[in-house]
Amino acid sequence: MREAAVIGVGMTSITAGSRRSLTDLFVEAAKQALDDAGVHRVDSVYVGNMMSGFLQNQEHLGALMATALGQEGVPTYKVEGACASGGVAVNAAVKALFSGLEEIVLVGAVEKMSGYATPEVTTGLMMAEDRLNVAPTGVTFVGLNAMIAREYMHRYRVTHESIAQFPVLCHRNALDNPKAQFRKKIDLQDVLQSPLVADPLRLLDCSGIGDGAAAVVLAPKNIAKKFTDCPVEVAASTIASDTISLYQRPNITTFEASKQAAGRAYKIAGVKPKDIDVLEVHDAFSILGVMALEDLGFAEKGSGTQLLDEGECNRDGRLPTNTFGGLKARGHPVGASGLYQIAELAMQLKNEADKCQVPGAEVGLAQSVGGIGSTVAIHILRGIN
Amino acid sequence: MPFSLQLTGYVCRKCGWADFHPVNLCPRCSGEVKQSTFAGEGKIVTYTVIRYPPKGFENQAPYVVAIIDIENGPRVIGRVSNSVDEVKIGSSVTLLSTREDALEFRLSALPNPDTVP
Repeated sequence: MREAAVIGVGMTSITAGSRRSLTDLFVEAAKQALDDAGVHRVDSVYVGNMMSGFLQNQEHLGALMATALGQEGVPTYKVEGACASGGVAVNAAVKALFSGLEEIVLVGAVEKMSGYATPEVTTGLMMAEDRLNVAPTGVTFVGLNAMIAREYMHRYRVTHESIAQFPVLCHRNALDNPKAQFRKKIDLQDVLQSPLVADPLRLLDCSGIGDGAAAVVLAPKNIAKKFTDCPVEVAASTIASDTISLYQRPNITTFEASKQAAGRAYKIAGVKPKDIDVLEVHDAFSILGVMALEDLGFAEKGSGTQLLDEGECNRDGRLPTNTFGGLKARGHPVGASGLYQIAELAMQLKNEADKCQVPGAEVGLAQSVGGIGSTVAIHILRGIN
Repeated sequence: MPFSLQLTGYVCRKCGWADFHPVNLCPRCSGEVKQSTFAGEGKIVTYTVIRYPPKGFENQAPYVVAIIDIENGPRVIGRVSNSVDEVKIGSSVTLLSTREDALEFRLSALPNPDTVP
């Protein structure tokens, strides 16, 4: 089978309140990635996005973005998998490359969430759950994650304070990322005293509302060196799904789709959790960061926070996690976050992460979660010397 | 025995999976499902309080939403009409209504200590 490699990366700063359009954001990130790869023309364009239809009244992002990029005529696709849209788009692009039908592939993702009333965005995010039987209760996405957090804390006797270490870690890492949305140091008390959003989750347990785009250019691994001195191999790209609704699961303190997709990815890449040098997880809410450490095989169930206690997830620890600030502090423009993770991992493995760099990182893993764990995309990337 | 609303739902003929909402096929094994009724009684698995509601719910917040295991029946999601201070993991609840596609429960009445011999 053909193997894929990342030959160019790009991303915008994540902000809220700007008047930049979806197209402006996407083109900025995509142009950076194309320039980084030294490529003018691609064989196809994949666009990850979740809410453009609902918030911007704009669909057909494939043709829209290909036109804006001067790639008229190429096959285009909009790929949607809720908050995992970015990760799912990369998976689709990798498979296109595997097929041999497409060689140089641009995959980007964009989301614009700011400038709308909070209930409007809240309603849009709930479209990742079942409209017919769950939305009528008035539950929100924060609320669903809050129910997970409450059961997790009850079942495993873990305190909110322990879980709050996750956003503190992310904010610390984002201080060194010039493109991050929240470059502000916070401590545990800041999290625990921030306003309740959906009990027990508080404002600083939750990622914010932001606009941004990220992109990568992919090429077959065997020709990748023609474009760049440091290509990054896509060693595995997997997706698994679970029930659309949280209530349909007997155990809500684990995401089965994460376990399944990660298990397959480790096997395909021929690596084990202990081989991962840098990790990007989908910490849309503090509890999800902790659960990811467990579901991806780095900690026993219920003991994910111990890695945080011991400083293992710090950039100088054994498992550097969310090294650019993660969803919490780098920002979470929902459909684009999965692509930020891939772009950031590629920068780490090319030794181009600047102040966020994990020295000597060779293998990285990204977990992108759609909905309430209903779609999970896992990517394992490996540096090529 | 006090009157309590029954819950209509669906059960998989093959693996026994139950759901309170119409499903076309069993999400677990793709088996065929048949309609079934369950007692309107259950226990709270977990819950939250919605303080920042979606569109259309602005006037109702804050309100409690819970995941509930129905006695000998499916796991469901619904509203609990009591205030958050009264709700706990493991609390028994009774189905109050099924209006507007959302199940609404209240905490089951405890026996009145004055009337218990």
